[in-house]
This record gives sequence, structure tokens and C-alpha cells, in this order.
Amino acid sequence: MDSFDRYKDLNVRQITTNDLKRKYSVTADVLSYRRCPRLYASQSIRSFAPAQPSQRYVGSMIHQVLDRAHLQYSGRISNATANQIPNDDQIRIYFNEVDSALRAHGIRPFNPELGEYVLKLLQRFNRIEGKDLYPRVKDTEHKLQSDRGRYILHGVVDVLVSPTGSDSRDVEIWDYKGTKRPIETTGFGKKILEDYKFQMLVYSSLFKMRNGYYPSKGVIYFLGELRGQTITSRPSSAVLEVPLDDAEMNKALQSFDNTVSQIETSKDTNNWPPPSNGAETAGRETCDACDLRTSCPKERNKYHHRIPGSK
Amino acid sequence: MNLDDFINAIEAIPGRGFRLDNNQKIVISHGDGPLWVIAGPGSGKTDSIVFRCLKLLVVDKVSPASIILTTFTEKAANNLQTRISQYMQYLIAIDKSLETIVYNRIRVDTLHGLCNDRMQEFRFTGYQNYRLLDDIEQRLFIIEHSSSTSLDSTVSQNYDDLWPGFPYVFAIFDPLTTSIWNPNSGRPPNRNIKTKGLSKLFNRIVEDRLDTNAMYAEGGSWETLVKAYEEYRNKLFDNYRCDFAHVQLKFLDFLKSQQSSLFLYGDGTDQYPGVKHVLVDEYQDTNQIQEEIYFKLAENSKNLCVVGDDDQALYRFRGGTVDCMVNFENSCQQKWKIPEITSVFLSTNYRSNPGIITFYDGYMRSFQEMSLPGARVRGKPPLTAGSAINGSYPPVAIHRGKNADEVAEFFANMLEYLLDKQLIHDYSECVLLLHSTKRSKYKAGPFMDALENHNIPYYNPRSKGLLEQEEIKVILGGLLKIIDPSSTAQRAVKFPAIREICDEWRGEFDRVAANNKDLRDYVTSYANSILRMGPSTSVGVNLLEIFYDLLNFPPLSDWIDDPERSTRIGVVCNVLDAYSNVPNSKNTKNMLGFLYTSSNVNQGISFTWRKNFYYSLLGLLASEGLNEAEDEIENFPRGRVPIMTIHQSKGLEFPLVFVYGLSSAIVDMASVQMESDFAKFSRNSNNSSTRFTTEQKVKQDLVRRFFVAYSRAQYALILLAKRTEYTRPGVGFGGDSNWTVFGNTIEI
Repeated sequence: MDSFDRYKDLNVRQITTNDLKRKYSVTADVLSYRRCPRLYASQSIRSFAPAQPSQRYVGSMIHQVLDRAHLQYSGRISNATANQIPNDDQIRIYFNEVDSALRAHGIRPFNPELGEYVLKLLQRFNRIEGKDLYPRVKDTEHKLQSDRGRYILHGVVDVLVSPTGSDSRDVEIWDYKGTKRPIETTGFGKKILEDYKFQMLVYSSLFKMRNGYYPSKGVIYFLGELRGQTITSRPSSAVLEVPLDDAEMNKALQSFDNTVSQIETSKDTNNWPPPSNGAETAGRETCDACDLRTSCPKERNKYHHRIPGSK
Repeated sequence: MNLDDFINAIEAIPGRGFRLDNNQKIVISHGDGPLWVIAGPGSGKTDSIVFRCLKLLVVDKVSPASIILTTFTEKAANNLQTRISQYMQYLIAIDKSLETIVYNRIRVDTLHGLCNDRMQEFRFTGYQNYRLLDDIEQRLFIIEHSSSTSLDSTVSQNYDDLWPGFPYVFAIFDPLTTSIWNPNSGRPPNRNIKTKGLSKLFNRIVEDRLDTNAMYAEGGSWETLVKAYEEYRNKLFDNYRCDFAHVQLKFLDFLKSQQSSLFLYGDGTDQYPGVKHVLVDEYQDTNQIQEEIYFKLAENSKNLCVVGDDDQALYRFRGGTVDCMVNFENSCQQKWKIPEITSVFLSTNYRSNPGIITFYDGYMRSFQEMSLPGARVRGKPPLTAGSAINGSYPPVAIHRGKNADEVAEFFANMLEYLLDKQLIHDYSECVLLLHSTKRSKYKAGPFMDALENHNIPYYNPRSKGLLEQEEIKVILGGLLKIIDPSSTAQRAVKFPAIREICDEWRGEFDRVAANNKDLRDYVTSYANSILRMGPSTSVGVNLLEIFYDLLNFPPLSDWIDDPERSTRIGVVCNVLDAYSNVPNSKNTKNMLGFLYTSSNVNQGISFTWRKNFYYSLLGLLASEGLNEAEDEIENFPRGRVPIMTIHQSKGLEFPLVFVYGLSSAIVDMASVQMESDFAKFSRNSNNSSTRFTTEQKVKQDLVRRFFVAYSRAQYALILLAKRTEYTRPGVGFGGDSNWTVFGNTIEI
């Protein structure tokens, strides 16, 4: 040990940790964690790839096809004529392109009928909304982020819409959902709607931080409400307008901060329990698609261990 | 805020510890035009580049989204982003009017991240929603899709003249056969070796921007290589996939297309301001295609600021040849006709004890190969000491041990002593740097053993040891028991290394399942159920679903609540997912993860599929091993001794640095030879490939690697060597036969 004593005058200054900031998003982090911390931990913390990412099919398809439709109208797609609403055939072409690309990411529909169903919804949306909506679109897949001190908050707004012209500060933020409008009278439906409103409130706050003014309103469009051959105009149930109140937005940001704190605590303690009332909070669809459902402390009794070939 | 106020403000930032020197101020204050910053280790390079960014925002009022700042890793990008954010908060506290600057819109990223995100953002038609393949996925794709690796020899034999043409990538040690393929044998190498070599060649064709027409015209193995490459590239894109080399090529296509005009030139709004400033950190590791991208990005503004240290170039294997850094001035002259550019040397070192600086500066200068024209930036001044670190302890010392075990024991004892005497606060203040951190007898193995014996926690995510972990063996063993219950396909595999590792996994599963009846019974029923299915039918579950089904039983269901075990299980999940998502070459609409039964009754999963699974995925795992997952933000956790490769330590600093392997001659010979061989097809006249001999390049690379290792140390550098190394000292000992650079080094 004598040789080590040569170092007795060593006086290492303690390293001050330079707190690197993690990014948290509304949907991929905060809402996912609130829905089920156990599932969030497996997918987002331990990076488990889902075995059947089909759940993401409808949402991804809708966002990407409509994005192409908006870009075509604005002339940002090569070989497309600006200011022209795509027709059904063009929507089908975009659909096929997106379908191939999603397959490269392992995302495919549960069955071919689902693909056709989504295509019909998109074509209907395009016919019903294109003429009024597309000319008013200011931007699509609009990325927003803000430094919250401890972390970076980020989100992507589907569409920025200007009701009165492209130079106006009167901007609406739109979000597309592939589902039907949740039923407000059921416990879970109410919760989902609350989540959607929360998402719009947070995006609006982010928008204000970037631009210095608030959007005039948030619009959630439920494409699932366009199901049915006979639909030729927008059903009132397809659109939910979210009033953007200052106090509500601050409350949403506060609530976002709180959930981020809970996520960080879960990380520190490695405690990721499923919600205490299981599928009531997580949603039955989420539990049905969860790869770890048959070992879930809350829901395992509802599921059987799978044996292929047996019912 | 004007420039003087800005400089005053940043000099007063608490905790930075030193004022800006004149050269740092030049970097920060520079106006328009190219800026070439040659920054020695510990010279405040990162802060200088960050302050320059802030100056652009605060003083010049440049739109944040028009600034591109790239660096080498995502962790380094996150570090830059955090510093920008912290310093901006500080500046806003001084001047409230700065609050309106949306500084997080600066595009801070790795170059690959920039390429991918901007092409997505601007919806480049040639890159919409592509799947970006990592190294493993790329190799799995090649083995499945390249005709040259086809199992059908009537197809693959058309490529037989390719392999002997490039022996440096194919005649390498093969862990599956424990031999080296002989180019004169008249037989091709096995598929695993073919794939490994092809991925290297394909990447270099892209990264070196080689003229494939000229290669094709050369005939022979060159022509065949181009055929194989073009087939690979076409299949890749047809299947909406892209590798890390091609994402850069796609980006270059994007930049040259009409679709990039909004990105490059903007529309006059803050949303799309165009590209006004490009700042590149770690420029010494830039390769040909990356240089072309940077010059294209800055073509309009000419505001290209590159920062790096030619002495710290480490990435020849990715085509980074140091030439781009050394010849930056020439490139500006040639490409932009700018006769003279501003160059700045940052040569005051604020990191290390002056004794350490003297040591590694002398080390670099002791090599005659480093003074050859083109090896270093011309006129580079010696490093000077700017740190206040001192003390009466030896800043540089060497320990001679009888053998690796003894050296490792010394290392563990010293760590114990340092913590015990409170000379360090935490084990993570010491790092062990090696050429390879693989857990083997000649690499990190003895050190990991010694630390374990002393109960000293360590962090070595790149030990390639993931497959040694209990939970991984059990999962893979269980998986094999389901997909190949009687081992019929496994027995047909000709490589013992694959069969042996599979037997080990099966054995581990049996051991654990013996005490877990539910798991054992489930696996048996699962396998039997598949065997009972009719011929040529879908199994109804995919490969990843079988993996998840196993996780639902104890002890695996308990292990997924353990943070370390579950993170490792996540790595295997992702590897299985990667394999599952490779398009089947016979029908690209089907992925390899889809399972079908054999066309013969009661034979279970298709024999061909099983055999392919063994040869391609398990062959890859058996030959390469798997690393642990790493945190995307933190470089290493507190409380544990990091064991790192020298490459991993790039950009980092540690109070105490231990370096082992001074005589190691582990060099990437293939990259050097490939570079020389490919030089004749290069479109770049600055290419050094013909300037130095292979031996000189190999030596220069090693010297730079040791220089990086030695210059990580702040307080003390401790060199660890075996006695035998003294009889034939290697490059780590210095450049002259008397290794005078070690003259003042104390032996401990």
C-alpha cells in the first residue's frame, strides 16, 4: 500500500452533475404512464417492442395519409398540382404508399378489412372536408417543445388551421383521431375525452410559448364518426371543440409536471404498478393488446395463457 | 445585447472556473464565413461552440431554427442542448428581452439524426417512413436478401470471384469455425463471414463516395462487388429500408432536390428561415460523404464552423480519415473559391494536471510518423497548461505487474484505497480504458473478475456479455424448446459454435424449469400444440409473441420487474423484433417473424425457417455476442467504475484514468487496407490514402488512440502494464526506442 500513499495529497473536486434533460411528450409519456405505468415501463423505459403493433395502424395511417393530402394541396409533393383537392384514387395511392412503409415498421392491420375501412374513412374525410379545410391549413405535423427547467416538454400538433387567411394570428390547432367519439356518459369514455382535452390544452400552452399568443381554439376530429356509406356531410359528433381557457391551460401544465415527477419517482424506485382499478383506467382495448397481460397483477384472471392452435 | 456585454455576461457565469482566453473569444466573436477551430483536449471546445451559438442568437439575432449544430453521439447532442438551455436561462435572468428567443429550435443533433429528421420533416419523397436499420438489422437484411449469400449455390456461385478480391474483410477470424478463411482455398467463405465483410464494403462505397461506374469498369472482383452492392441497395429501398450509410446519401439527394429549397433557403418566416449557420463538433471524424453534406448545407451562407482535433481522430472504420479536418482550408478554397479562412488554435488545456499535459503532448511529438506532412494540421502549437490542478502526488505513474491478473488486482486494490481514504468521492471518478471491453482473458475479463472479488461495482455495458446472463439464456432456451423441440434443425447446423451455445441455453432453461413446473409444462404444451398443427399452415403466433408468452411465467414474470434483468430482456426483445421484421426474400410481403408449419405432417415449424433462424440470427449472436442497453442520456452511472473502450471515452474526462494494453496492436487493418485499395475510385483529390503507407496509417491511428486515452485524465493518469511488455514495448510507450516520454514517470 506504500505506493498508494503517494496519492494521499490528491484532492479531487467533487463532480457536480450536469443535469441532462430528458424529453417528455403528452401522448408517448404522460398519457401512456397515466393509462398504465406497467405497460409504459416495458415499452418506453425498457424499450420492449410490441409483438403486434397493429394498434398503431389506424392512427398512423390516418395521420400520414392526411399529411400527404395537405402537402399535395400546398404543392409540397413533387408531381402534384398545388391548390387541388386529391380525388379518391389519389387518396388510395397515398394509402398504399403509407401501408407499405408502415409494414417496414412492423405495423399492419389486424385484417385486410380494417385497411379497407380506414381507406373509406380517409376518402370520405377528403371529400367532405377537403374543400373548406385544405386551403386554410397553415402547417402540418407542427413540432412544438418547451424547456420546463427539469425536462423538455414536446408535442406534435397534427394541423394548424387559420380560419381567416394565412397571415392571421387567429390559429386553430387540430388533432385527428381514428376512433369514434368516446361516449361521455361512460366512465372510460369520459376519461378518454378528458385526456384529449388535456392534450389540446398542453399543445396550446406550447404554442403560446413559441409564438407569444394562444390559438383561438382546439379542434378534435373523430374520423370514426364518418363510418357508413351514407355519410356525405360532417356529422356534428365528428368534431369536438376545446375551449382554451388560460386557467385550464395552466392547470394542464401543472398536471403534466406532476405526472413527470411521478414518472421520475417510478424510475428511482423501480415501481411501475398497473393502475389500481386495472382496465377501468387503462382501457380494455389496451389490456387486450398488452403483451404482458397474463402476468398482470390486476388483470391476469381475465386472460388465459395462449397456446397456439387451441381456443 | 452587444458583443462586449455578451462576453462579459458569459465570463461571469458561476461555476465555469476560468475566463475566456483570446482564442476562445475569436471563435465566439467570429462573423460570417468559414471558421476552422483546431481544439486540443480540454481546451474548452464545447463551451466555445455553445457560446458561439448563443452569440449568434443573442447578439446577431439569428433565427434559432436557421442554426444547425451537429456532434458525434446523441449523448453529446443532449449535452450541448442542455448547456445551451442552462446558459440561455442565465442570460435571460440578466436581460429579460432575450425571453422571446426560442432557443430550443436550434437544430442540435447527430448528423444521422439531422438527415433522418429533416427528410421526414420536409417529406422527402425518397425517404418517407423508411425503417432505419442498425448494424444488426443491416446484416440480417444482407444475409436474407443478397444473392451472394444465397443458400442456393447455383445463385451464390455467380459471386465467387468477389471474396478473394477483398481478403482484408473476408479472411478474418471466424468465431463460428475458429479459423480464418483462406482466399486461395477455391471455396467461398461462410455466409456469416460474407455478410460481415459485405456490410463493411457496402458502407464504405457510400461513405467514400466511390465512383461505382469506374469500379464496375475495372472488371473482376470490382465488377462483382458493384453488382452485389447495387442489388443490395435496390432491395433495401424497394422494401422501405435504409442503413446508416445510405441515410446520408439520401440526405445528399434531398439537398440537391427541389424539395429541399424550403429547408435550405427558407421562405422568409421564422418557421422556415433557411440554413444560415452550420456548426460541426468533432469534425476530425468526418468522412467524405459527411464533408459533402456540410459543404452543401452551408453552400448559400458559407457560414461553416468546424471544430475538432486532428490528434483525436478515431473513426477510420467509418471512413473518417482525418483528411477532412486537416484539409478544411483547401476544401474551402476548392469548393467555394475562398482564398483565406479564419483558423483558430485552442491550445490551452484547462482539464489536466500540467504534468499530464507535458506527458501526452510529448507522447504525440515523439512519433516521427506524426510529423509527416498531412498527418497533423500544419503549424499546430504545443499544448499549454491552464488548469489549477496540482499536488505532490505523481500526475503520471506506471505499474508493472507480473501478468494481467496481478495488474487487475493492483487496480482493484488502488480503487479500494482511494475510496477508503476518501481521496475520491465515488468510484465513477476513476475509469479503466481498454482497447476492447469484451469479457475475455486477454481483454476486460481479469479486471471484471478482480473488481467482483473486491465487491467493487463496475459498469461495462459493452462487454458483449449479455448472452451470459441467466435470464437471457433461459428465455432463448425456452424459445428453442418451442420452435425446435427435438433439436432436429439445430443438429443440422454445421457450426459447433452455434450448436454449443444453443445447448447451453437449452440446459439453462431445463435447470430453471425443473423448479418451475408451470413454465416447464407450458413450454411442452406449446411445442406439442404446434407439432399437432396441419402442414403448411400459419402457426397463429409470431416469433415475438412466443417470446412474450414465455415472459408470463415465473421466474421470468418476476424478472421483468427487476430493472437490470428486464433492461437486458428488452435488448433480446429488440433483436428478435429486428429479425422478425426482415422481409422474407421469397415473399417480401411476409416477414421472417411470421411462422408457418412444415409441409410435412407433424414436423412443427418449417424446417427451412428453423435452419435459417439458426444460421442467420443465432449465428450472428454466437459470433458477435450482444451488448447491454445503454442509457440514452447518461454516459455512466454514479457509484460504479466505468470500464470503457478508448472510443467510448471520446469527449469525456475523468479525475483518474487507468489505461491498460500499452503494447496492444489491435488495429483495424481492414479499414486501412480498404481505404488504400478503394483510393483509386475516390472522387476526392484531398484523399490521404496514397500519401501514407499502410504501416504509417496503422501507427498514426494507434498513436491518436493512446493520445485520446491519456488526455482524458484530469488529476492522475495511471498506466498499467505487464512486465513482459517492457521487453518489446508497443506504441503506448512512446515513439522512440528509449521511450523517453516515460522518463519522468514514477513507477508504483
